[in-house]
Amino acid sequence: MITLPNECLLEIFDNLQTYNGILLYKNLFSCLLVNRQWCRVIIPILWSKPALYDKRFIRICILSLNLKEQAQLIPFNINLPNNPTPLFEYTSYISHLTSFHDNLELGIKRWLETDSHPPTSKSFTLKSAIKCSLITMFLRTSGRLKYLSFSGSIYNKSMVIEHICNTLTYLSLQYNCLNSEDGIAIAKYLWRDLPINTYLY
Amino acid sequence: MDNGTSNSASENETITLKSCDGIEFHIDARIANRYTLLNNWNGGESACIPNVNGKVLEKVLEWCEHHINDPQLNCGDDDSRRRNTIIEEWDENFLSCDQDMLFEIILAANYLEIKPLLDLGCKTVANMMKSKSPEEIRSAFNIDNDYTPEEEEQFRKENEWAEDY
Repeated sequence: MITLPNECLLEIFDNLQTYNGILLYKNLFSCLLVNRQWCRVIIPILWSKPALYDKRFIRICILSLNLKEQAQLIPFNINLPNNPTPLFEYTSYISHLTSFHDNLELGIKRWLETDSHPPTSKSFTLKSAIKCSLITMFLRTSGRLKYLSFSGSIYNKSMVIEHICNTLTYLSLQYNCLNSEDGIAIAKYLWRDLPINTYLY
Repeated sequence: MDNGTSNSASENETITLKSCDGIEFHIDARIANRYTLLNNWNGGESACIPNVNGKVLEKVLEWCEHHINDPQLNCGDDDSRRRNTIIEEWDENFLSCDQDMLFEIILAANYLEIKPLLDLGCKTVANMMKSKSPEEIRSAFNIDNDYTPEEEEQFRKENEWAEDY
């Protein structure tokens, strides 16, 4: 085959990422495994809007937590996967994180179930802590995160707030139990950035 | 009559384009006017187009000629048109050429900035990849697998969430 430049491959793969207007990644997944050039072009497309509810996605994200984000989970005595190191810094490509219908919570719940973590009386707090570590990691690693929307109280507010990044153009934190001091802290982090639409319920 | 082409060239005007291998084509000046890059080379009576050979340029110009009266797309229309994977019958027949030619057309359309032809070529190739396994795609397009088996397996594991998305 004549080798096409990446810009043409991007055009081709762009046609494969939806079916009747709905995201469908099955075809792109096959293309990703064809060769290295295709892989490099496809990874940023797939990871731009990932499937938060999938336990396999959550597992890769857990591998991307730094020591501080992992440390928050140590008191819960869960087994964190630590290898192999992912081949790409996948989360750096995420641009949209929308936890509709608590997708992220669902993914975390499924991951906890399958990686044989015994149910504990603290499972609600555990899920909340994992969610907090993951959101912090997304904010820390994604250089292109534009849209962030999730709901529920935040396990470690200061950890999340201090990573609110300047690439965001939309931020929605629903039912977050933030108080006015937190609001001021968020505003402080947003202040240095470009104007964005912020909704705090 | 407004046929969607914003140019002043009349139907009778022609210009000469020369491919990289020296083959000359006398084309309706409206075609050159419509596509920026062809137009840019229209400095005199003839223009030379590097990087595109006669065989490919002939196909590209055949497509341009057939679509000369198509309305030009606005930026806003572009996305919806691109998402539509239906290909008209004439275009489908036009691109039922051998695979090398199809890829040459995509390269030329990209180089000459003929966006609708580039979209069409890419759509055609995308349709050929649908519902195929990686191995079937490699064999359909004669692509070498340059992954090590371990690497391929790790990429599969790290992205398998996408298979069911």
